[in-house]
Amino acid sequence: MRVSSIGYVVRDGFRNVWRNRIMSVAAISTVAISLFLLGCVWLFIANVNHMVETVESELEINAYIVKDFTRDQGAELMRQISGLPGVAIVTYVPKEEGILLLEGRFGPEAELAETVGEYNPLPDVIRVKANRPELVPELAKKLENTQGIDMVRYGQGTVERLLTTAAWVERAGLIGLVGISVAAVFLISTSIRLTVYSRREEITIMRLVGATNWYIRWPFLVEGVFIGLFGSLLACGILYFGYLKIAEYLSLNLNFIPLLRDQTVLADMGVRILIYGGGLGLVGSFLSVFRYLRV
Amino acid sequence: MIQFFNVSKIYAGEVKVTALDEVNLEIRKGEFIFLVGPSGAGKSTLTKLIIREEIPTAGQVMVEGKSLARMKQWEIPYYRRNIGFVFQDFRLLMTRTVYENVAFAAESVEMTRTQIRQRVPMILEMLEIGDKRNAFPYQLSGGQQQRLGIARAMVNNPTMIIADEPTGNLDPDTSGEIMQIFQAINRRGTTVLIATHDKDMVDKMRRRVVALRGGYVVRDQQNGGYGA
Repeated sequence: MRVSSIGYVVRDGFRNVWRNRIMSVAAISTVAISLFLLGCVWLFIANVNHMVETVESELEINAYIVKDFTRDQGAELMRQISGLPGVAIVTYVPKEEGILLLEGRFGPEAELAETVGEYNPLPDVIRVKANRPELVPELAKKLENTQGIDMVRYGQGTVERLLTTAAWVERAGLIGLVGISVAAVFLISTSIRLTVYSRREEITIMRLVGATNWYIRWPFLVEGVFIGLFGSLLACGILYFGYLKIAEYLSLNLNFIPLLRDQTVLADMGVRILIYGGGLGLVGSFLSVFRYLRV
Repeated sequence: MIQFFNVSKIYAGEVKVTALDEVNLEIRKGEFIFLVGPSGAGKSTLTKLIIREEIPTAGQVMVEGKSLARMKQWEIPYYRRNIGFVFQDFRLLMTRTVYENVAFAAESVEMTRTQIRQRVPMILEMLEIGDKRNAFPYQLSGGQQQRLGIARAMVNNPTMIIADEPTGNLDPDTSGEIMQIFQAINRRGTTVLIATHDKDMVDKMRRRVVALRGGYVVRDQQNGGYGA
């Protein structure tokens, strides 16, 4: 095809979308819904991964020292622990400080420290931060078997739970996405089939005057890509503004949830959605063009 | 230019239909030929074989010494650019203007904008519908519509024009005008093949007549009439 013909092809593709407005709108909406779903799943997973990273980077082990240990024994224990491989930072938290930290969590009205006075039931704690989050479980096990340590606590399961949830959402999202993508392709191909039907006279004339097969096909493929791109733009718009609203709400009301607010992540998602949408359109139009357009 | 060698065309279906039966025919460059015969005699099939819309069941259709059946799929459109096709029912695009109808055909064969801007007005003037360029086909008379159909067929400057009952929907006076246009086109060297039922016209013009009946060529006569 000549370069000078690209203008005709694009114009005709656009004209096709416009002529079959109702069907085009239906197809565009389905594409938008399917890509909106894709975007939601994408954003959710990206955020869970972000949360996992945040949680992992903050992950530390609390090792509770047995009650009958003296402070000196505790200090010796701390030195011993800081020598273990993989240990980054070790902090000693005596029970007097521990009760204050607990009080801080409940709010100053609780007056915990004052209430318990000398009868502070908390043990002294050694806080251990590992070099890398994946070392935490092993290190915790080692600490558990160390003499003088009563109990070991770290965010057991938190990361795992987050990752399991993300995997489930991914699976459910993908199944939903496949289903709705099939519907989108079907609607696009039906829409193009209708255009082929409504332009059959023109196609006859084109064939007889000697238009090449690809010259005849291109506008229909372009039509499909247009439908896909319009749908994805719609989805991108809704996702972008919707997500920013949600992120704003969460940062004001539930600020312990670390949401991604990075524009490059959103831009990256937008580009992927546009490509996916255009691809859906192309697949839909290919199906119709090769089934219903006899050239 | 075009040669038919023992060409048969059989449409296989529940009932086998033999549309053409061992037809031998030669169409030379610059000829003016009437293809006559009753409905179902094989006229349409013969034109479809020439434009490579169909391929023969047996025999060969040769163009410039090359077999059409062996033509590659991608070559067909380029081959068709040498042939202009005119329909009985005009087949105009009703939502496009006179100018756009012709330009549409020109765009289809990927003429440049500049070529189209030169060629289309020239053809419209030649067919005396230049003043109607912004009208829509339904605003034209039957004769003007067929002139537009011919303009569209001519835009690519084909070496041959094939017309299928071009005057079938027109009154006798208008038919005469259209036939004169075909003669003028032929005088410029373009081969013209007209499939027709128009007895008066064929009798009056006395050109080569190829008569088909039941798939056979029953008569091929120079300066012939419709009947004999």
